[in-house]
Amino acid sequence: MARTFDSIIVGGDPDALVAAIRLAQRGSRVLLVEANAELGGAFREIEFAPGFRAAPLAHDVGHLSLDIIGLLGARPEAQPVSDPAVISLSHDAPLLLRSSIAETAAGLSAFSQYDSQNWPAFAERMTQLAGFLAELYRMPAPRIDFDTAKEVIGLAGLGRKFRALGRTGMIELLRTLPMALGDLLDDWFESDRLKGTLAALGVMDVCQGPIAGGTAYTLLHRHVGAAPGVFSERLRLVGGPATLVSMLADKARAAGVTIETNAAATRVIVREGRVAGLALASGEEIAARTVVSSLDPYRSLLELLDPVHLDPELMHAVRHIRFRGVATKILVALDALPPVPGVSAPPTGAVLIAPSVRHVERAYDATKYGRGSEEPFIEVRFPSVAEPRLAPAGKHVAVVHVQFTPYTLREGRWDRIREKIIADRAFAIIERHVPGFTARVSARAVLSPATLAARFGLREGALSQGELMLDQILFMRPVPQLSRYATPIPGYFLCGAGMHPGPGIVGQSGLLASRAALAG
Amino acid sequence: MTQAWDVIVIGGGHNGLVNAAYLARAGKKVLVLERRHILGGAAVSEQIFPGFTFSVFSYVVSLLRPEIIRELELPKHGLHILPLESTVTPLPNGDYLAAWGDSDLTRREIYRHSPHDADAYAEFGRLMYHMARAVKPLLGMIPPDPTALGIGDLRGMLRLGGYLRSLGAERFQQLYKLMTMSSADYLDEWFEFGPLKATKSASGIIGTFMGPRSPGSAYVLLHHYMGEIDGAFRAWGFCKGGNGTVSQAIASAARAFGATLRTEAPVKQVLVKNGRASGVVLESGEEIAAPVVVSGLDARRTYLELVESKELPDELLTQVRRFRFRGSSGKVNLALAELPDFTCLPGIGPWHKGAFSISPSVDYLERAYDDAKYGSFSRKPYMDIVFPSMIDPNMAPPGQHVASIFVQYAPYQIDGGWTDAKREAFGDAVIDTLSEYAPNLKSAIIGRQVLTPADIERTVGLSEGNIFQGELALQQLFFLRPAARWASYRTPIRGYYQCGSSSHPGGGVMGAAGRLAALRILADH
Repeated sequence: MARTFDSIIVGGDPDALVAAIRLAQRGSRVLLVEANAELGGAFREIEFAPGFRAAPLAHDVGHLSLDIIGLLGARPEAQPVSDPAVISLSHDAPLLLRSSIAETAAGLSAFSQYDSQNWPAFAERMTQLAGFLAELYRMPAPRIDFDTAKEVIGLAGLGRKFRALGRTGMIELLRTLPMALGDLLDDWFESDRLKGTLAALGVMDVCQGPIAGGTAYTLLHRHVGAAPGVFSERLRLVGGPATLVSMLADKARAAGVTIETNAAATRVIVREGRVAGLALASGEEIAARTVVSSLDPYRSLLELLDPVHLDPELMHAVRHIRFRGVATKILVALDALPPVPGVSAPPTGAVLIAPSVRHVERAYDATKYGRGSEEPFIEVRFPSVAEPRLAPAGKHVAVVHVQFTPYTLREGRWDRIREKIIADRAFAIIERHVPGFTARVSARAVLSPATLAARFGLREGALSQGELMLDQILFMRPVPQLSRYATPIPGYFLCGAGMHPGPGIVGQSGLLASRAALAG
Repeated sequence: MTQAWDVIVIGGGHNGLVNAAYLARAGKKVLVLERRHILGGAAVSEQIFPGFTFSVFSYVVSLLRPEIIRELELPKHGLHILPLESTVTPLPNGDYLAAWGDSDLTRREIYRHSPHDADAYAEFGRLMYHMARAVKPLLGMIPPDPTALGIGDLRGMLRLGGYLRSLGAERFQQLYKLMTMSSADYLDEWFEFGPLKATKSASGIIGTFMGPRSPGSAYVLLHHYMGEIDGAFRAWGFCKGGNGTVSQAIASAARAFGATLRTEAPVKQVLVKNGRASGVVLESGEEIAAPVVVSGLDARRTYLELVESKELPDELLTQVRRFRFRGSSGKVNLALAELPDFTCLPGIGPWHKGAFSISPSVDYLERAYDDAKYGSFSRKPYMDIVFPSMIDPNMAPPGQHVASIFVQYAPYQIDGGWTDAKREAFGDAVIDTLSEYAPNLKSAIIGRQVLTPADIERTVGLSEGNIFQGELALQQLFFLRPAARWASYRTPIRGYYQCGSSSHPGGGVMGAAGRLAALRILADH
């Protein structure tokens, strides 16, 4: 082994960068290796047609906790919340979710007076519950077999925050977490369109329909860090998600981290029962006493490690982590923006086609039988409206999210033909709602879950790196034995979206994993 | 108002009767008021066709708490439970999958389909046994309220936390998985043979508006694993004379302790004076006074029908209005000239003494659920079929038989509402589906009774026909059943209590809610 570092970070996403920064700041000599040519992980942009770029998996950077902002040293420059945040289309008038609660409520009265009245209280309640999750997400997941004084103090702190919700807040939190989103929405609203819109936003990237238990939680999880009443976006940075990646990369280099791209890890080297280094695809072996992987837990455990180091029970558990990517992304080059019903200004928010809870649920049903949905729900965003650099002058980019299209097909496999069928179907649906869309298309790239898996290294094409359902969160994420970021191999640690607190809480697992690594 | 009662129990279902028996045993003067002409609620045996006796609604016993059987000495009062010997799942290819009373036989049978599953089966059974044991103390406790600030609740929470901690991390995590996962996903971690997974996951959907792939169904699976007769877990049984005998035995015990049981005495309202229960008024106008009134009815009736809403805090009313029932199952009772002859196991054999499960695959169950999700009954439903006359020949004339078919899904909320025509179409779907596996069935039918959730609601009063008096979903369990703060069998009206399975620990012919409510009342008075 020619080269030696104290720590090696596998992966180039924000979690990996945060872990690298923290370790380097504590005096560790850190190497970060990224398999791709560019850093960023799921934030990466790709040029899908000459002059047209888009980040297919990130329209925002999710939630940055106070800890991560502290680490960055400054709050990155943010775009204002999109207004409207959501334009929900159906055969009749568009429904708009605005950045202002009052304006949304006013607009809802055209659909239902009842919903209009309930919107402010609903928005407030969801903000309150998501606020509790935000606190919960700042520390390692509480566990039943706590044994250190620090954990007891952490639990007591959490208990105080729980109490601070007040009686009704406490009841609502406990009641809401396991609920089906459809039921939660029925408690508050009556308009199919409003419920369908929120249902679609809640089950994004989850292989469940909105009437399945646990989907109220996924809506809340995605609401952590969002503005009150906004369920479709969180922090959008000037310059796009790439801004955060370059800020973190700069910070890492400044802290002394060596960053190498096009460097794929193939194996964590274990000697005498502990980490001794990392082998790369190039054949190089680099010595280090600590390795932190931000790849998904399946790859980190079952592909990077020789199975002799793992007990069969743990391997069994890791093998049964559910990933289940369900979304196809279509990147579209547009000669011009099509006129979107309901708005006059070019939209920066989401255009959503999900007319009812039943529609979203039916779209999900197909996945149970291993098929893509005939009538998927669709979200379209135009990132070039806020970031003109993504397209040649005057032209635009659309990112289309199509759900449900399961990674695992019962018959056949994902290929060009299937991707074409899904995209044609999606375009036909968009054309019905946004007339003139297809005529403006000059190029498109279809990224099925299988393609996403291949290009972004996401197992089963799942952005979550482990489905965000109740049995795979908190102390169960990714599996109980690994929920503390440490693995059974001393010196080997995990971070990334597959770890608590999960996707969209950017950098936090990197921070928590670095703490575990520093503690030994 | 002539007679002085200590307690009036509204509803002579099994929980009401258990409650009355415990209170009478402690020396209280107890009056039970039942709307129908027979006691038992959903646990009744009735002659629907001359000579044919049916367990009309609930039809097997297993969840009845052993401490109740013991403390009320129910065997002395005629309770006689006979074990259910087997479960056979006919398969579309003409084969079958069976689980027998004899575990070696079962192992060999499963081995025939999958050697891997034969090994996993025993281990799975052990895990479920331990999990059921881990949950048992929770079923026997009055749930503490984590949102309350009282000393009692805090102490209760600490005790609960201590108990969960004492299970150890691994058991606790297994329990958590069972509480949150879908039964199909959970079983995927154990088994590979489709029909085995389907038949097991079917117990996760019974009585719920969920499919086997719906998160939360694994808990219902466990709930059904808690079946326990005489301390033996996972023992399901028939009651000699049908499930009405369970009710009769409890009623007889209650009478022996001095309780008075009145039938055809529908209660119109609970009388409340200055925030205190003072008695009840019957539909007939008769008023009966008592300082303690206990409702064995479900939460909707207990709070929204029996008392005026001005007596209750808004917070509770909101929670009760949001408490979900959504009955999803129906029942078909058949009088038969001969037993159905199953093509997968021809002839009449010991398998007729057990259950038949129509659950060939998880997809089959999910498709059945899909129909219900969108407002119709399942065209190809899940069914659990037993022939009680094979165990207790007195239930049918000599040589003839009764079949009890539990069917899912039959949603209460069906598009356009239930009509007579729809009920018969539902019955036809059941018979047609079953005939595919037993072709002689149609010609053997002498009489057929079809019960939809709407019929169940009308006949025995269970709201929306939900057999558990409210869905067994996570947000409706433990300290949230039926409502936070009021999960301790008390209500905001002093002297007014609830003892039905809308309260912790929920449904099944279990009796636990009736018993715990009695203990609460005795502690309060």
